[in-house]
Amino acid sequence: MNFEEIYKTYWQKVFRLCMGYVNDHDWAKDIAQDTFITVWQQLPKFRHESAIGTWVFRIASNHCLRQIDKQNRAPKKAVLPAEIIEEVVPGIEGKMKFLYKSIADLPETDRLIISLELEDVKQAEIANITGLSEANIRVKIHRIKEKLTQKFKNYEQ
Amino acid sequence: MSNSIDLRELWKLQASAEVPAEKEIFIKTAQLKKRIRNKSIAGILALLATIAGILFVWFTSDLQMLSTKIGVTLIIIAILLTIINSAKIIFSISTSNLEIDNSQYLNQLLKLKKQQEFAQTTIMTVYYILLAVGLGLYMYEPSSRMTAAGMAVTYGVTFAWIAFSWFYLLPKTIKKQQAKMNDVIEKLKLISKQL
Repeated sequence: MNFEEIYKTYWQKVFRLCMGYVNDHDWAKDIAQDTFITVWQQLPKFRHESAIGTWVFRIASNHCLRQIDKQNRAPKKAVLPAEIIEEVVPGIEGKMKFLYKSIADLPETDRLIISLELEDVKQAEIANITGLSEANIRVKIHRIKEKLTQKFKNYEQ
Repeated sequence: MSNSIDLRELWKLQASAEVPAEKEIFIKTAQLKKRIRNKSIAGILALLATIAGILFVWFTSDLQMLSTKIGVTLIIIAILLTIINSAKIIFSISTSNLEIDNSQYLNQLLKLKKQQEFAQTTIMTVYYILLAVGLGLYMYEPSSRMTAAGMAVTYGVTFAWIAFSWFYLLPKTIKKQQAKMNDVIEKLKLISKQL
């Protein structure tokens, strides 16, 4: 796969992973771009020890984790008082937004794990990306999904 | 909304408005490189200018004593030390490996931050000591030609300034940096624990 193919195949996937992590359109786009800069720089040295998707997602998720230095970019949680009711967007669009918001509220690594799962990445590969065991991933995904489902139940009431 | 297929469908509805042109990536890479290069060039220029200034004074005014030369050397070492240190930090960040798994990456990031914290506090302290001693030695010769009162004032003012930075500015700066760094390190540890 050359860079152009990787870029076309993975841009949306990487962007969604970043959106799940920060839930901010511009910020996610920035992280996705940084990811592809690394991909572009490292591709000549890539030795196919893992699947290309695993490799791209590893780079992307590490770029997400790296945002810890830039958390002041996300003042939304600290600044907005809880009383401000978020703008409710009706229909499927609103549900989608709620999903991304709920994911971004999870602990950092859970955000990555569930995003990869929803992106149809195999659990063995998620284990490979995060450095956790497959059994552990399975348990975590189960718990996260339960949590999200519960949130949706409350949302729909 | 009770099964995962619905979540998956919702998930995939999110799309970035469009796939940005590949060109955008390359433009950003070029900008990044340029910014890093400009930063290093500015740093090196500032360093060279300071050293040139010190050397200019050394050669134009007829300074003979060994203490002066040692003083100048110490000041130059102090300046070099900080520049090398900041270059090292920039370099280590830009060469960190992003292809390892998340757990390894977090460990790498943690190690890097701890190194940075050590460098910032220790190097800064060493810098101040070298600068103070160097300045004291450097000033001895020109001030020895002054009257006793002039010498007292010159040294008084200089060391008052050094004492001010040593007891007030330095702890304050270090404390601020440490607080920021500790914050990041704590967060990293917390994330590492999630894995």
